[in-house]
Amino acid sequence: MKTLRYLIQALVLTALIGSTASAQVDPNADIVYLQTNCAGVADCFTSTFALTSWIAGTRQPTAAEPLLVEAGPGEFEPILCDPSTAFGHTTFRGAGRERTVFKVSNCFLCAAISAQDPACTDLEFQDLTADGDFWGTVWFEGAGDSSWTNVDILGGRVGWYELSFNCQPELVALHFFWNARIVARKPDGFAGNGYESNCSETWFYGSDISVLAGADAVAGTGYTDNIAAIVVGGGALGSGVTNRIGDVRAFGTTFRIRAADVPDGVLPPDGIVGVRVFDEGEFHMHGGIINVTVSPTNASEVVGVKVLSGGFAHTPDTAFNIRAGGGATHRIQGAAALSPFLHPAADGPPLSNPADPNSARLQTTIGSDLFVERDCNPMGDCSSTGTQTHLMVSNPNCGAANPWFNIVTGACRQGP
Amino acid sequence: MPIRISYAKCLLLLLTIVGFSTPDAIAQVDPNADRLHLRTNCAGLADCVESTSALTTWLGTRQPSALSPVQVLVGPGEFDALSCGNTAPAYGHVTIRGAGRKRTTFKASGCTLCAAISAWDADCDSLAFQDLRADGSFWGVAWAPAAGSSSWTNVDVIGGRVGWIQLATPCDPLTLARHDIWNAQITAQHPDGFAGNAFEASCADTWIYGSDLVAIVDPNATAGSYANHIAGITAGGVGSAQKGIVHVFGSTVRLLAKTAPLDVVPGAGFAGVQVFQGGEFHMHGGIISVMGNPNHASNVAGLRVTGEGFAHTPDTAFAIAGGTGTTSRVEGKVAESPFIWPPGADPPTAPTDPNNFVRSAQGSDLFVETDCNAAGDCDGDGDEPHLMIQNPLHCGPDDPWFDANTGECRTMGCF
Repeated sequence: MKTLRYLIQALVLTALIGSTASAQVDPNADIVYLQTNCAGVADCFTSTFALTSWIAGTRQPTAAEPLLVEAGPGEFEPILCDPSTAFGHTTFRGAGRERTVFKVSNCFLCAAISAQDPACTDLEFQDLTADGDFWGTVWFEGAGDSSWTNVDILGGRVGWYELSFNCQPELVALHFFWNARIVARKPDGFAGNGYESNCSETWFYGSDISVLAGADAVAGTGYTDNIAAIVVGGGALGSGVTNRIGDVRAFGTTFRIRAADVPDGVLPPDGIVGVRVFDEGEFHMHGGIINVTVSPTNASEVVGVKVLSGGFAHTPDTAFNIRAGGGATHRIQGAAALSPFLHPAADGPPLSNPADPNSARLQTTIGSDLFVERDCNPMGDCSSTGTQTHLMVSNPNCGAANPWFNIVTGACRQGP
Repeated sequence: MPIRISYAKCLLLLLTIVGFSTPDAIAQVDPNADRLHLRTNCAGLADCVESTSALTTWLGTRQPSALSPVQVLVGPGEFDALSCGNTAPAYGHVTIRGAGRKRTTFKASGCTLCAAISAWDADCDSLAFQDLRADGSFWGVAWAPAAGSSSWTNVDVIGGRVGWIQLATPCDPLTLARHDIWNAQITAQHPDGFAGNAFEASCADTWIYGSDLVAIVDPNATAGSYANHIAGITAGGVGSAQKGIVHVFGSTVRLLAKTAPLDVVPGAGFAGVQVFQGGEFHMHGGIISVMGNPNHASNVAGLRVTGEGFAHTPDTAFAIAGGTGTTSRVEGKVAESPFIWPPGADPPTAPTDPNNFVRSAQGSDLFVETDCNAAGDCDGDGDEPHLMIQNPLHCGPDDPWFDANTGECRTMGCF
């Protein structure tokens, strides 16, 4: 009987040891788990902070010995890669972009995922959401490269923000996005920008970058001087920023401002813009669309691509859809916006708001826009008096009221 | 008489049993498992192998089928090259899923005519690769059979000579292999030798979405010529019954040759896309970009079609920077590739020579010249926008533009 008792005690003890061991984390594990409940799972964490502390302090992944974090469904604390918990060579793979959420809320200048140190490099994020009510993600000047696949990045003020004070070429990080959705949305405050690139080279494939400026957006000029789906080459910090090196390339991607419900009192001084490029910014896009939609009664200036001093944009074979309100409306602005575009054929020039036949003409730069007018006569009168198709080319030299040049007649367009 | 053992001895005995028996259980792999692990260390993990050869041997025994497929979960780290057929058993209906495109690497180095991932048998069918990297010092991926199928999602493929190559010769157009590629980066770059093509399609129907294909000519590339071209993509083959069909959407096809040595002279020049006899290339959305060495004498083309090859690329952008040789956006009679260049005060040129205008196919290119006058003088005297159409047949190769406003070849007036 005593032997049996010893045996039972030994089995219980063994089970306890086994349970403890399975709760421990192998310091050399190449895969660890982040779950809301770790019962029965080895190498598992329930806290993001405990996880990142272990990665930075114990595991210390390298290129030769990288780490995979498999995150289960649920909501988790933010991922902070800061100087005290810096790490690289790690993949965070969730249970799906709408299943695994890293979240931070009710804080200022904070993000759901942040990289603040040069050691934060070779980081990969997949199948998850970063949800911050200020920034979705923030990347400090000097932090390293990253890759994002099948992710949602949701920010209140800015979806993706780069914090750069004096970016040098050697500090420029390389980021790849594949099938990402990056959104700036602040349901109870001011809407900023979807993506701000001022110290990186970024490549987007098959992604969606947008700003949702809702009806409850705070009136006034607010925190930034513009609302834009993407800002390249300049940040919101303004003074003290000496170098802003942003380089963005987008393919099969959408940049959108959905501001149809923005109150009339929301008037960013530099307008509502699809793509804003300035200082040392460079923007390339081929395939996809730049879409800016504003309330018909909002008086803001609206621009598809705005290139300011020092910036450069190259967007052949990118579509545009601009629906503005009462303010000046430009498809593109700036001499360094290389952006030829063929509008759909119509019986009149493109309007600032296609839904309103009385809205002003869409403005653009000389030679960049073409459309075929379908109701011209042989004399070049295009006031619906004929059935000839005349090719029109944008030419502000013909006057702001009718800035089109008729290629068939070799003269400025005639017609309403 | 009962056997009496102490508590400590009993515990020791149990732990010993556990300690010895567990590894044996782990080492076993269920021959009918539908999920297998490939890890650098299998400790504590059932249905796990630690080498690529053990994996393919098991797959040869398991013989997955459409009704009984297999998923292989690969952990972080570097693994030997993965082969289907040839020196390994042939298998199909398998998904190989890594720990991330930068975390799991299948690698082949120090060998010739070898690949990090390769298929050599028609039974290599319905293979899926995801979240991993194929890194070969010669080829990244090689697909030899004229049949089979594969899909690739979120992968990096890197080859020394060629990123992805298809080897079937001759090719039966009725049994073409089928490949679907999503979110891939396929690169050809040799750090100390000759650079080739990023993707060669000679016996397959390939569909590429949201991907980046880039051939990089290394500054240390060896002089001479491995092939008669260096290109981002080649489709079709030279003089054989090859059939390569490539469809590309929302992607980038790039050739980076800015620092190409001047003695690396590809016979047919540099090209973003080279379509041969038996080749067919479709691209819509994205860009074909060729960045040449401004001092290099080789011809540079964005899209070159030879023989009875065919290309169809409406709504694809181009960026071409050539050298001192001929710079063309499009070459070949069966290249359906309309393109509107950005407007400017001058025609598009090779960057180092303002008089070296980019050439193209008759009627394929348009641009708006912004400084013409009513008489058609476009030397900066006017402010009329004139629509120019590429027309080398009528206007000659040196200034191959036809002014649609005036109905005559472009003129610069008197200086």
